[in-house]
Amino acid sequence: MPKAMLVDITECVGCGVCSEACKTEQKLPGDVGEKRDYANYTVLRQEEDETYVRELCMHCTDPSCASACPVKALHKTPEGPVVYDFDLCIGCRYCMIACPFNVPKYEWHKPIPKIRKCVMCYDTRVKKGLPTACTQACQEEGGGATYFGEREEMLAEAHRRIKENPDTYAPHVYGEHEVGGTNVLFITAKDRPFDSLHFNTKLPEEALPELTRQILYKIPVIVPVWATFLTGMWWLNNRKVEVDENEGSKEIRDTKEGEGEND
Amino acid sequence: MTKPKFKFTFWRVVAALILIAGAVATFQRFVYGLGYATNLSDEFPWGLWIGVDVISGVGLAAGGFTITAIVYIFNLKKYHCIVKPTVLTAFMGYALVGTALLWDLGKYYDIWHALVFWNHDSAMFELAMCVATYLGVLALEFSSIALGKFKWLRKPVKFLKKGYIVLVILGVLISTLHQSSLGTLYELVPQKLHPLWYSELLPYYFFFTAIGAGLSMTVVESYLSWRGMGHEAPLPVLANLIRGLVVIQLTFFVAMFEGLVVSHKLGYLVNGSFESGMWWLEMALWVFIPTIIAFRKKWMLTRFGVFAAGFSGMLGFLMNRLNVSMTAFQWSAKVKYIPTWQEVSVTASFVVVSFIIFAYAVKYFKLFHEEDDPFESIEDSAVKAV
Repeated sequence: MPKAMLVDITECVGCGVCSEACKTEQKLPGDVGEKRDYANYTVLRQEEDETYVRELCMHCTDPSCASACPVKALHKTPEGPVVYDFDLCIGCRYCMIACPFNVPKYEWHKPIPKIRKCVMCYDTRVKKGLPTACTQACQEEGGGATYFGEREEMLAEAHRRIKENPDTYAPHVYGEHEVGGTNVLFITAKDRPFDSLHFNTKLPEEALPELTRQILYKIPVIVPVWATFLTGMWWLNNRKVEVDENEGSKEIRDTKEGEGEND
Repeated sequence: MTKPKFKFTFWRVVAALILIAGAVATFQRFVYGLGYATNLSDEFPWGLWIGVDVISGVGLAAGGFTITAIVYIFNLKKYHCIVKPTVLTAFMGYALVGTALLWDLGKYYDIWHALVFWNHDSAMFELAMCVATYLGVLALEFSSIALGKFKWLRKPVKFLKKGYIVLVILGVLISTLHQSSLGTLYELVPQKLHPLWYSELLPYYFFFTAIGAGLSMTVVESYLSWRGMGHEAPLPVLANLIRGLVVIQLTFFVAMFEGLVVSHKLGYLVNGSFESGMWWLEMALWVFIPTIIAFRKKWMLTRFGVFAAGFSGMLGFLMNRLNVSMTAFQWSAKVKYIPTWQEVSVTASFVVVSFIIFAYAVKYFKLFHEEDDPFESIEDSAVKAV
């Protein structure tokens, strides 16, 4: 069953242990930065009035990055995380173009760069049934705003909180339906709805890769039709020449015969 | 035999300077990485190299499938005189696109992965497969045209000529797929592309306008080879290509404009933004100027008039592809991207290299001379095969 992370923005105190734990777990160089990049898979974005928003890969149910990648270097695991294989990657950066959340980052400073993104601690933790490093840090040392578990359970928990405290929470679970659903979910305070926190609230509920699929899957249908038409046109247009030539020679025959009669 | 002396002309010096800059930039890119040599960033990952060398380059080489389809499938024989240089342009164009891609790919030495590890959901995968296959088809087409001059190659060339129509149809099929795939690349990002350029019909637009790009490119290169080497393609033939271009561009314009109307996007055309300006400039070069020239009989009787229409169409096409890949994307990325001198000089170097190869190939393979080899001409074999 797919796992998910739930972030309750009202509970986040902005301590940043999530980002630090991520650095240690994923062996990322340097200090914790302010923006996501090749060395920062997750950061805290501070909005006005002391509201903090975690930025990390949303681990879409149907990820645009994985559908864009020509060589399947990015793929969705059954457990939920979207992971990356450097050995397959050719460095085309179409995943960066494709991602609706601008998650994949690049090692621009290296001659042979990798794509870097949050992989939900797949190899080191989630595969073994453990929670992600950021969740553990948040629960044990931080404000306890990030939760980890089955996606179903996390969704149920989010809806329970909204239902029981309708005055505290905005009635929306971000990631439940956005771009076909994601494995990272957010709930927020009623007076700080998602659009005021720079979440993209205009994303469609349809998974974006469908837009490409509905075109690409037409190809096997179009090719035989188009091939038949083109071959047919060639046959038709070249036959015309043959017919013209034959009629032409008949004309010549007729004139010759006519000339013969005159003699 | 004495070697002819190499003369320093203005354009040769310019070309040499560009190539030197390109070589320095190449060194920097491969030794210090993309971050050092380019202005690309996490916010703006695709720049000049993808926009010009790949997305526009593939379109400008579309003359290969357009002209061969006109001559061999639709049997309009008067265009036969431009088949050879056009097929050369296409072959060279695709080869250079494949080469230029190496500059942009992070793991350029793994470029072959795209042909081995398939992802059916990726427009990029489809593009890679088609470009690779089409490069093979064009190599065969070009061999059958050019290699007949070598005695020891005459048998395989004769064989190729017999099957030439198969190559032509294959070429049109594969081109349909990958010219449209360049548009499909951007279907995935409706929220990132400026509304003036995003459309569900983008793949159809890309394919249809590639035909126009092939025609305008053919006209431009014919004019330049006339200026540079004195080879002359008949003017009425080129003028008709321009008329074809105008029909295609006007058809596209009506379809695209309807799209803007029904999706309530007309406001974006008059809001005075940078994007609206770019859109109008694109349409002026791509649609309006070629149309005006084509309907002036006097202008269409001069070589320069015909060339101007083709050149404007070519620039308009370039603007469109750059608007989709850069202007429209920059709108959502909210960063300003200006290419570095390294990016510009590498792209310019590829243009210079294509000029040099074209000039030498035209001379060496006598591409502006009509069929004069002892074999039956291609049309004859096509007719016999029916």
